[in-house]
Amino acid sequence: MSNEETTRMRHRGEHAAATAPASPVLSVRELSVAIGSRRVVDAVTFDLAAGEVLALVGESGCGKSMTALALLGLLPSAARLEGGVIGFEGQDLARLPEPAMRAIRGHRASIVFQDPSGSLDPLMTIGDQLVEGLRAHHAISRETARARSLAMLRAVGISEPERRLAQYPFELSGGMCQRVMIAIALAAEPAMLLADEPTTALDVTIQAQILDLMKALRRERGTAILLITHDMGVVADMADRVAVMYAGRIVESGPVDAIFASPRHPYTRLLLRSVPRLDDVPKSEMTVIEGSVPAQGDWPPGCRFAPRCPMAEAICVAASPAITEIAGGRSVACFRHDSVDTAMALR
Amino acid sequence: MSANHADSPLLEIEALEVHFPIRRGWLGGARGAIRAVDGVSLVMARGETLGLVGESGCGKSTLGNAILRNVEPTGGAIRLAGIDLAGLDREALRTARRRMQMVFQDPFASLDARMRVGESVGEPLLVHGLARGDALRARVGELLARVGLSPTHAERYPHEFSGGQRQRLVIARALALSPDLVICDEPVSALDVSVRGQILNLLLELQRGLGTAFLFISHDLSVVRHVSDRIAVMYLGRIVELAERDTLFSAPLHPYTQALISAIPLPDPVAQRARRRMILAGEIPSPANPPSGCAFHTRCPFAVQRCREETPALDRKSSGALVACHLAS
Repeated sequence: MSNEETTRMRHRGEHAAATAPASPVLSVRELSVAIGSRRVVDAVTFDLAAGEVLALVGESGCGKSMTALALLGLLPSAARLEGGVIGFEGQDLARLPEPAMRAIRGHRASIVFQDPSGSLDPLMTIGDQLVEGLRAHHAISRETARARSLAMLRAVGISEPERRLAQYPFELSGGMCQRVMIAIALAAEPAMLLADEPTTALDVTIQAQILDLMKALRRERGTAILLITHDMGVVADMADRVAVMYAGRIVESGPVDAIFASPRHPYTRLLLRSVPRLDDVPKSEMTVIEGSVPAQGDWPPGCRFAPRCPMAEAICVAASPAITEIAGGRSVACFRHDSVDTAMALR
Repeated sequence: MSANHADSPLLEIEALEVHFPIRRGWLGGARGAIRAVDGVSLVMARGETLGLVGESGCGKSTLGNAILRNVEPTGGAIRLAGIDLAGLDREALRTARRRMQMVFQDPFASLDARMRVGESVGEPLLVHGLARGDALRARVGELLARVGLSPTHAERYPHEFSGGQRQRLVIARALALSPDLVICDEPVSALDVSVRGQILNLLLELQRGLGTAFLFISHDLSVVRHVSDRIAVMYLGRIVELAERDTLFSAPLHPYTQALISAIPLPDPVAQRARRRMILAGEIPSPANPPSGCAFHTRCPFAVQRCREETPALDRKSSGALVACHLAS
């Protein structure tokens, strides 16, 4: 048995990860997804409580979107759920047949994607899409559904909602389509919203509107939000807790203030420093992460970040660090997390 | 170059307009125009980096393309080192274009997949008959080294490189003819967050080492701030504010600039919670049908009657900034 296997076996019993204090709406344990023989999501574990925003952060190919798709049984045909438990309102979604899953999607749990135009049916009016979505899950008349649709469009800040109901997606701007998607996602008052890069395709002034809308929903309805993003600014603005993913695994998680103030994983630390920010010194040399993100599922041995990590030692290549709890409700998967402060300056 | 007026600015843009006709029906009569660029004037000095920011549809990319004459301006003038580009015949334009190069957002689409990268990087030199054979190979090796790659990479194909490395190759090719001006259109937006810093560092190093001027177009204000000397903010085809970088960020005068800056979330949860955000109502209007008066008045929290009626000129304020707002002082 290799070192990596022994460490992983130890890790299986622990479930030390992004666990929330209150009783969770969503409780994910050891979730794994594979494409062919490549494991693109590897034993991901986290909790999400009612009214909480958990940000799942990482770069393209780290498995964050695949995680979200797996949660609601929406994996592309090439990918399959390899294992794990997805506890949601007393059920294990990982073992739920598709018809039962369909009853949950768009009802108790909704998802909003990055590209709203790809998620709306171009041949149906906005009104028909809202009304049908509502009637699929509720025994209500078209009139009631229409009235509720209008109320939802108003709630998400869409001007002239009556006129919008008769319009097709192409007649609406990207920001407006994204608001419609959020209206559809929230019409059923789900317990949980999965938002996969919901503002990445939008302009910054429109992003500000959408983020404010999501904050209001969480505040007023207690919706639990899993926010998937690569933007550390959006994380700082929205999240209560953060889980950082790299190469298919969660490498660090904890309360947002603590993670930003003193990241324990070298990757988190570098990621926070490698983007220009409005309060840094212009034209100063940026911190860089050497190399590039490994191809999905083609992970290096040992700690997957080791080839790019300035702190890596022999053990980091030889064994895979288990994610372990540290003080303050935090977890980290790094052999050297105790010496990260001395080894790497924060700014 | 013969007509190089050393004392004139590198680039002067005067009242530039790019209007695209809107045609309806198969007979194609024009029914109005999309005013992508609508009266832009600016001056760039040799070796400076001018940031150009704005949201989608503001005309920033069209402006970049109009400077290179990739799209034809419908009005105004562009002068490169004192030479009016509009007055040039094809041959003279080809020569002038050597002095301006462009780097696009997508490094995957910018390199020919079937060409060895050495050929791609050296192509401009070959096309303009400036180098061939051993001299060409040597120059390509030099360019690759300049952007942090190895001369031995010349024999490889684009698919063997990561996104960040490909953007380095694209930059190497843009530098092949030692241009006076490089227009970068969202050069890091398609890259992974962890490799953006590498490319920004490279661009900063080139600024210092080559004396090349950069027009840096981006929607990302943090990135623009990091690389620019001066920054121009565009909204619906017009420049609404143009100022020294530090002036723009410490004392933004146009309400749109203020909103843009305040809308960027800081990657610091404590600081971000303490910030007051200026949320703009509504959507960006269509450039086919821009609002009357100041085009920003439909979203401006301070708009008064005059803003609806009268288009504000881009005037110099006491801070030195150029601002197009009736209410800014």
